[in-house]
Amino acid sequence: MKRCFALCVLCAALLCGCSAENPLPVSAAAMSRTADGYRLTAELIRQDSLDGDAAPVYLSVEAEDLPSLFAEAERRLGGHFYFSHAETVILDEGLAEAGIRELTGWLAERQDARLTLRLVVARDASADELLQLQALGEAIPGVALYELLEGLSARGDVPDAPLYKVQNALAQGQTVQLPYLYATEDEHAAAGGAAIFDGGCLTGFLPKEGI
Amino acid sequence: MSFQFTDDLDHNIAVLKAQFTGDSTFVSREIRSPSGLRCAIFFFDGMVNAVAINESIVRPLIRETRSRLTAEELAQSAVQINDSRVEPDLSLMLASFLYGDTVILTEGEARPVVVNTKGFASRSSAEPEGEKVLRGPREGFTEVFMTNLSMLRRRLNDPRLKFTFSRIGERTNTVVCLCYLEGVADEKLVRTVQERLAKLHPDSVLDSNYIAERIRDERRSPFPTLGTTERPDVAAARMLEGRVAIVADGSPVVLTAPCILQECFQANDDYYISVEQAGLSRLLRCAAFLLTLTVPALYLACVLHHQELVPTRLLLAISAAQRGTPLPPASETFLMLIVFELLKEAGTRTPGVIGQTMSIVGGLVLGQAAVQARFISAPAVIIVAVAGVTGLALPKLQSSTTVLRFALTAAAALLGLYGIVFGLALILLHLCALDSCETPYLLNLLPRVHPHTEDSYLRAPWFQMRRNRFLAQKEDK
Repeated sequence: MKRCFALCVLCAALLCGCSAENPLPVSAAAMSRTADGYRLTAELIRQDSLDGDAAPVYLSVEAEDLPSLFAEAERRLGGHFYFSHAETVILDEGLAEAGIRELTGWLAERQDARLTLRLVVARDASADELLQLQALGEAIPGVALYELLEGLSARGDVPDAPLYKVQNALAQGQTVQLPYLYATEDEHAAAGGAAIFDGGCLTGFLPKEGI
Repeated sequence: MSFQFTDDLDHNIAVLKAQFTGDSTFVSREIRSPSGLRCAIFFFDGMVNAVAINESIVRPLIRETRSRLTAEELAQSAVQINDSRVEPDLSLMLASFLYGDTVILTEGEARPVVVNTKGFASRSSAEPEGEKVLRGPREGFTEVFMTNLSMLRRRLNDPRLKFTFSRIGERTNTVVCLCYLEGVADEKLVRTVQERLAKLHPDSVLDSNYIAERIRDERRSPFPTLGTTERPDVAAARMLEGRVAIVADGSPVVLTAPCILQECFQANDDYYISVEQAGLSRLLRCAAFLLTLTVPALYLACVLHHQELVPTRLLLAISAAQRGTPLPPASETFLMLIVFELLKEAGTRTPGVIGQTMSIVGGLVLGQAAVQARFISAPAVIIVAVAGVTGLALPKLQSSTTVLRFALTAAAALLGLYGIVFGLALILLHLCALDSCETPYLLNLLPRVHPHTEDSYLRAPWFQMRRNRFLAQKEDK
């Protein structure tokens, strides 16, 4: 009996990971409002071989509500929409004005979203465009964007606003400050100052000097 | 015993010859002196020192002037060898006779005389392959029992060093010696080991492991609960620490009891090299123990169940390496672990240069080729190599780490990090419950169990080390 059990465990152990997939990790995402609901553009990282460089690929999906966005993304990918490594979400100005309370609440509830996820607002440009602009320091724009925000928030040039801080501030009815991004003339993403939210809705922008 | 000696020498000769019919090494020689004395000597060819027999037995007997001798006279005044005795117990006589002693029978005497004429060929002492040291004594035990005891005696010049003999094995009748330092070893420990040895009734004992597996605590445990060494200096050191040693004839491996986990992290030359170097090496061995157990398990847990814990770039590298390989991560890790064990086994069993060549071909060439051909992913090879190499740093725990590594890897493949934590907790529970001859297995490693020691994870310098630093319960008077 014991031998049979041991054999079964061994066989089961050998089968483990048979369904393991090679995920395409999401490094950053852009979200905006559409007439019918939401639009999500995700930057996925592909690395087909150890010899080649990692390359970004972009996937855009639309859905009526937030949960359907990820479901739609998974349907398009034919596998798991791997959001655990996402570090930045760029919010469209329209979405920010409509309110981010629902979005942050939904992200905070998701198991695969990091609480250190950085939210930024796109100013005078669409979130999709900002996400896909060529990066300076990194081959992957989403990764470069995260490092840029990390560096600037450490220096105090932009508000340090990871998801958990935003969620806490919203829950306590406080004013929220998120960094905002804009496109430079030479088509790179740059961080400006702070986007001010009152009651979860975007009310205005503060330049760097005003923070 | 199926035969008896009588006063009739011819009968006795016939009886002994009948006993060894078919054994071509059995030699009997009848001796008649001019004075009329009749004797017969018996020995096994190849087991005896022929010169000693010729010079010290045959010649004096031929020149004997008395016509009749008692067994005592024969042993005390006729034979010119230091170790000769009258042996009325035929089973003891046979045991000595079969082990290279010469038996002398004389007319009119039913009791044989046994003379020590052992002279069989034996291997000379060499440094044990499995217990090499950077610095320190290079002598190793051999297969010859008395030589091994002499090595211990030479190191422990103390009249309180005791050697207690017993014979174990119905067919092999192997001499086993329990060695301890009276007053240093706990009497209870000595009694316990003696009782365990006395209860043994095996058919044969060809190596000390035949005894070890029978008398050790928790026989099913993967951890060694009886120490082994092939080095007389190590055996002597352990006896100085209050342990007992068991020497079995024909085996160069000496058993020591009790055995605690701490011993497994000690190298033989920890006490011969500088304290700093020894301390660093010991810490490295502790780290190696954890690494060899957990590295494959952690890899599988992260890759299969907790990908979010892996840094993005590393995840991408692993993902890229696994593209195109036919096996899932768990299967290829298990496969590589098995291949590594096979290579290790083959390398151990293959002699000298061929073994080294095979290790290189197997390890490097095959590994590289398998990765290039996309049979196996490179991370799996690296992980298994790290686990294997770190496992080699702990020779005394090799068998246990091999078993536990497979178990932990399976647990991690099934349950991820929860499986690893569960597995490690089980191992710790098992270690806590483990005893060796009534000594806690984690002695000196846990602060609340017998904490007075200067030799635990690190050792103190010799000038700070007290004399009784291990488990000797009594003061060394």
